[in-house]
Amino acid sequence: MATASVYKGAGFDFSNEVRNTFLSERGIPLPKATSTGTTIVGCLFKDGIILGADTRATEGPIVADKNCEKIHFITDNIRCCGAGTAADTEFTTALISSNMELHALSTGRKPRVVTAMTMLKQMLFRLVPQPTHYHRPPSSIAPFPYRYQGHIGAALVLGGVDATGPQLFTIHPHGSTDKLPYVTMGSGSLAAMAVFEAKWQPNMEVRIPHAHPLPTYAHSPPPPPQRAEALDLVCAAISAGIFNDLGSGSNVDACVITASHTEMLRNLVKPNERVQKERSYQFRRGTTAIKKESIRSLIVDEDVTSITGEAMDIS
Amino acid sequence: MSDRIYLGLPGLATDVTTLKEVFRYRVNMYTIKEEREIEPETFAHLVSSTLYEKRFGPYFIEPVMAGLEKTPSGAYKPFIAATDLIGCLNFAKDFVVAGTASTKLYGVAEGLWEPDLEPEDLFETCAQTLLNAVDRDAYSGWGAEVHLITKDKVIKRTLKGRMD
Amino acid sequence: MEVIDIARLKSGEVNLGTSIMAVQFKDGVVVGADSRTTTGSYIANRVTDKLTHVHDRIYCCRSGSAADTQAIADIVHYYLQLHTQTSGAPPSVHTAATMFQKLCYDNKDGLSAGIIVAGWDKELGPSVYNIPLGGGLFKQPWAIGGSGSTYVYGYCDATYQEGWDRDQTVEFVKNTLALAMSRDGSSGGVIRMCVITEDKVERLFVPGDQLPKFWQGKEVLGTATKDADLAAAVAMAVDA
Repeated sequence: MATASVYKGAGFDFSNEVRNTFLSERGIPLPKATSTGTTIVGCLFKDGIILGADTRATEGPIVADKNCEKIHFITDNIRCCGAGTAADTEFTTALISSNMELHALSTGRKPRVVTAMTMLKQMLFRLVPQPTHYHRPPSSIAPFPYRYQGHIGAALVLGGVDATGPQLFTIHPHGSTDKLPYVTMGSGSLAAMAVFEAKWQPNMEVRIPHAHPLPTYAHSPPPPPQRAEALDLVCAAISAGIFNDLGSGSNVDACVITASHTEMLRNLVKPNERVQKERSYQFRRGTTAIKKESIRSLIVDEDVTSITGEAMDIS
Repeated sequence: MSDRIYLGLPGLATDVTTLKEVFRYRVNMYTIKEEREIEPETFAHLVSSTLYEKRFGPYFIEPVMAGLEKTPSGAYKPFIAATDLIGCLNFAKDFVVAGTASTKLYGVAEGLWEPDLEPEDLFETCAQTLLNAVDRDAYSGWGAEVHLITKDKVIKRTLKGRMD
Repeated sequence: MEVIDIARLKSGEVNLGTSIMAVQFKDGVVVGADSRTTTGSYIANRVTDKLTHVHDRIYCCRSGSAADTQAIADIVHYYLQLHTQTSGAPPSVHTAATMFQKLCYDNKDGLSAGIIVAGWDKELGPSVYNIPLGGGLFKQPWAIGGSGSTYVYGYCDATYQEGWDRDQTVEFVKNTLALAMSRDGSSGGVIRMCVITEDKVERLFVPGDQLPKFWQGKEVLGTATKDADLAAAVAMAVDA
């Protein structure tokens, strides 16, 4: 760059790449990024879509977060579950959410799920070439200029209800998409898919646990036979992941999206609550030897001096 | 970072210095533009997006943040957060740990931490967690420091630990 | 030549280990495909639609990387719409095939895509173009592709004849795909077909339990070996 400029273009910065490769070669390994070895699912039911997710985030073999949120907001009527590199799912969905809002504002229409799906797949595949009007160091990763090709490790389940009805998609890190009535992703996807393949059926109903029970009338005909309930199925699928997949764990999150409203059911089931500790492990004050102590007061002392004398003439 | 926000930066020494300056610059710019002090949660997002900018050439840093948030009523609420090296935020309710001793810290903290401790008790818990974890990590040690952030003062204590 | 080299796919990439096919007849073309999408040994989608609409009377069959072929098909779809608006007439199948060919050839280092383009246009009537891995373009009366195709080249060579009608062509496609799917582990599921003629595009669907059956083996061990009914398909018994 000829002149120093404070302007920074959008997009990623590869400037540490060369240094990091050098460090790795010298045997200094890169710390592991948080990933969500995950179970995420989505399924179609009578009036809309249900998304489900577990809440474990891992850093290699360590559980980094025991109750993280994997169902991300896209728009009021669209949500997205993320698996893979945690930071990628977080930032990718936030970016698309923001672009969807701008798209809705400029078109004046309620956003559609396919729009979000197309944005996501094109971003992950990098169909759109990067604008080149600002300085950009040549990337050594990409064989040709426009593609992330799975380098952004986001595996997503996108669901929502729009003008065209309920829609459900999966998006793989390389940018391929599938449209199916029930989907699973993440390391627990096999366990969850087994549950769906066994029990899913078209036109299931949903039962929200704290919803008011339907009134029963004395002289009405007997109620129709108990239908398979979609939310229970999603819970069962996520639970299968939580208990059978090592990368998934903790609680079940779910999100029910219908044409009229969206309901986020955070920690719908908590099958792995920490029990109360048997005893307290507090240390007696003064256990730790201190070499030095300095105290910085955050209270700003104020001296209020009242000025006695003649009152100002304000007449 | 500010009176009520503290940031821990374990990782590559050169990146510690670089990022310290980057955050100082960005927090100052925020304060000037917004004409108010940055809130801890906002700062956490600033850290997160700064790190994600370098998604494909990251800094070797895993920051931890602690601070006091101002609630609408004017009271202060404790806030802690951590991110991985590419900025994935983790807002924990109990504790966050990072660095080469993180695996040990997780274990000890999980056993010792309990909710609603008084400041001095939390100091003991935190100090003991740190000292004991660090003693089992070859790369960490040679002294330890604890900052106890309360609504009206910040106490910085240098702990007595192994010096080998 | 047409075989998708699995090693060329990036690890974890979604693969269309596929059997795809297109055959022309007097009034149009029949395109067909299996429905299996795999990631390693896991079937990511068992009812995939690999027959992708790129214009009113032009379809493509995709094989190779799912991400690559979807992206290519999306680009061609976009350019064909643009082409129609600017030229005021529907594009020829050759135009579409050239677009595919150019994308595949120019980016041959980064893509794994084997595509068959087929459709009907005013200039040539029905036509089928094959664009294998390197980005070549070949006009053929029939084309097969994907990992399953290697098993059925002989069958196609022996069976195909010129001058078939619609039903005979559909039957040929159905049988070829069923044979390919039964031998290729990464093909399977259902058969999807499209009959593209001047007036319409007709979609056909053969469920996985109604595929054409061929000789499936007979009971070797056990009782009935004398007059085993070959038509009633009996699975070969495996005794420990």
